[in-house]
Amino acid sequence: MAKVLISYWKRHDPPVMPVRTFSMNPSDNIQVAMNLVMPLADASPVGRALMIQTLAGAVEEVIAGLNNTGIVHFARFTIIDGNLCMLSMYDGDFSNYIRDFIYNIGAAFDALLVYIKDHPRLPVEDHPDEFIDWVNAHDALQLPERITDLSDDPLKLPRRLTLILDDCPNVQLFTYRAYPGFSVAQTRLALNIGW
Amino acid sequence: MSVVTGERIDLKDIQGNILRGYHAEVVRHIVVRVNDKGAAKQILADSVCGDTMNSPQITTGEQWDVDAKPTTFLNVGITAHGLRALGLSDSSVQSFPEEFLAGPAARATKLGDVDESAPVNWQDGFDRPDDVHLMWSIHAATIELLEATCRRLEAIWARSDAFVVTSRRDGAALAGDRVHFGYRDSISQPRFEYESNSQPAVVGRRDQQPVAPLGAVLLGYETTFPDVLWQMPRPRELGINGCFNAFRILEQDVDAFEAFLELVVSEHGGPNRPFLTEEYVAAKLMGRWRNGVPLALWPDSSDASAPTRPTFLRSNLEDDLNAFDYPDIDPEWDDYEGLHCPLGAHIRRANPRGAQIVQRSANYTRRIVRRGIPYGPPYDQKNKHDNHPRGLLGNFLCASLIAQFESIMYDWVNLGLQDPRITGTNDPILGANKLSASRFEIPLKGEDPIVLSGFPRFIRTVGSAYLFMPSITALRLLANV
Repeated sequence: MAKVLISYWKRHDPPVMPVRTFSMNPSDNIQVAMNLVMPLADASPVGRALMIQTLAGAVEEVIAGLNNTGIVHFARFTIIDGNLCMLSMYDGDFSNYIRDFIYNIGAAFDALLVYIKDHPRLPVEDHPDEFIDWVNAHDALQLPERITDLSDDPLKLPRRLTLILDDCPNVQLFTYRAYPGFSVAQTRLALNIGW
Repeated sequence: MSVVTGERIDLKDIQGNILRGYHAEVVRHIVVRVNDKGAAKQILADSVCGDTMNSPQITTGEQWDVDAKPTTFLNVGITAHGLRALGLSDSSVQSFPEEFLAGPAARATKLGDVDESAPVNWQDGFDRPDDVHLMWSIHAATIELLEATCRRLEAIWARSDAFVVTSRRDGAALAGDRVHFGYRDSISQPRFEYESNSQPAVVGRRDQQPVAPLGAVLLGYETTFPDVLWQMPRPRELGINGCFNAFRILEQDVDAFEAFLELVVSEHGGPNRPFLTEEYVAAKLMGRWRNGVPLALWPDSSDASAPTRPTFLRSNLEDDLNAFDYPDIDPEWDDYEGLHCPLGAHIRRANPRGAQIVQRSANYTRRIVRRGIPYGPPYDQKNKHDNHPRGLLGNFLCASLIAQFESIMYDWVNLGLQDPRITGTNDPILGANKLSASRFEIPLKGEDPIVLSGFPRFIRTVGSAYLFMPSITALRLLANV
């Protein structure tokens, strides 16, 4: 029943996906969430073990590379339901983050992406824009922090949201920040641990 | 002569004013909408046919002899809408980078074009991006030559109804390469070394920055990120030797700027701070004295003949103006704290050179070429508030708008992400400042910094377009699609 209703809505009112937004308020552009969900080509225990061993061999490189981007608060690598997830908080522009990431640890990522279903063209250094688009598509969709931003019309809001969720199973809701508005470097400078 | 990097290029295939500036006295930018596709393509074909009797020709990057410098120069840039209007296939148009296809109006918040600078307030038809197809830029040595070339061009266009002219915007150089705020401009540009027709060439002042790869401004070469290649438009010949141009009409509020300098001196100056003059404040905001002398080398005086760093290798004054960096092995001259050039000063924000920055791999990856000419009458200190619009017609040239131009504007100019000590503030001169949130610090040796706040936005965007400057080969290709 729900499926019939959704396809009916879709025909009459196709979903409008929220795009990455920028703000002139600096603190809105600091501590931004990225939830990269990458489906494993082989999610069996053997397939996961192979991927984990490859990643284990590149841990130092990944950490050094993320450190060099200078804008990543943390990045957690986690397997959830057959997906390799890279969950991170970063400062500034998404495309700059991914471009610096490619530059710093593109080679390590090339080795990892082999284990991912429908991965982008490799090496990523040769196709940075394509990789950035791919990451964007595999990043859990960032819903507006105020969900009412999806529609001015309160009657249409539930339908809009339902249609978006029908297209995007993975979405990022709101974020709690214990120290909002502070960049990685500001935090490190304040703690006197170098930036 | 320095060692040439070995990058080879056919200068006859790239448009002029990219690697090497024209230093022309006057310019007219004519924005047109394609009216008749076939006629428009014929105009493009004629502009690269090699026959000046037929039509004025696109000026290439070919080097001219010192005594044979052309007196007029013609160039053309095309927007994404323009490529479509010329009949380029959808698949080819879609192969251009996303930010170019979207155009600056769609990227306004990212670029800081908000409030008064919002695209809805843009002039010259830039508020209707769908109608901005091509921009013809005519530079000339005199206004008479400019008028004559423009008359001839527009007469040619009129014969075939190829275009509808949507706007004409004139600019004229101010004496001494100054901009309306009084600063000498265009001192710092990337230095390129290349080989063309087996002739080595070097452009740009000797400085302490690495030589920029040709791929900083042209498609098809090693980019500013070693080993990373940008998306190439298809077919490949359409992209190679092309360049992206973020064209911006930047209106400058000189009254507000001068009033702010006066206010700072009256609020923070006094007998204990005899050094704090309007010129000092202007220098600290920019990172250079208004005559172009860099604070990094002459922190106390705009007189370039005054002594500076003892081991500094003097060559000639013109080169010295750009031969500096912020870090230095001599602790006396190392400027980590911004005691010479403030951390938030315009030239340090827009190009941190070798300074420690947050994005450790980004120091030299965002370098762009700036070509600009002021518009509007010179500002007259004796006749303030004359209500004449004045500003800069700026061309910000690069190979990747998103990785270079937009990154500078967003991360560095309007967020200050590069240094935790300025994060959350905007560029004092170019930034999207608000009275309630603006902040700028002038660090002082041995005492608390002078903190400036409550200043407005001094530069307002009144028009912008993302243009692709195709190679000569690509223009021929476009004329035949």
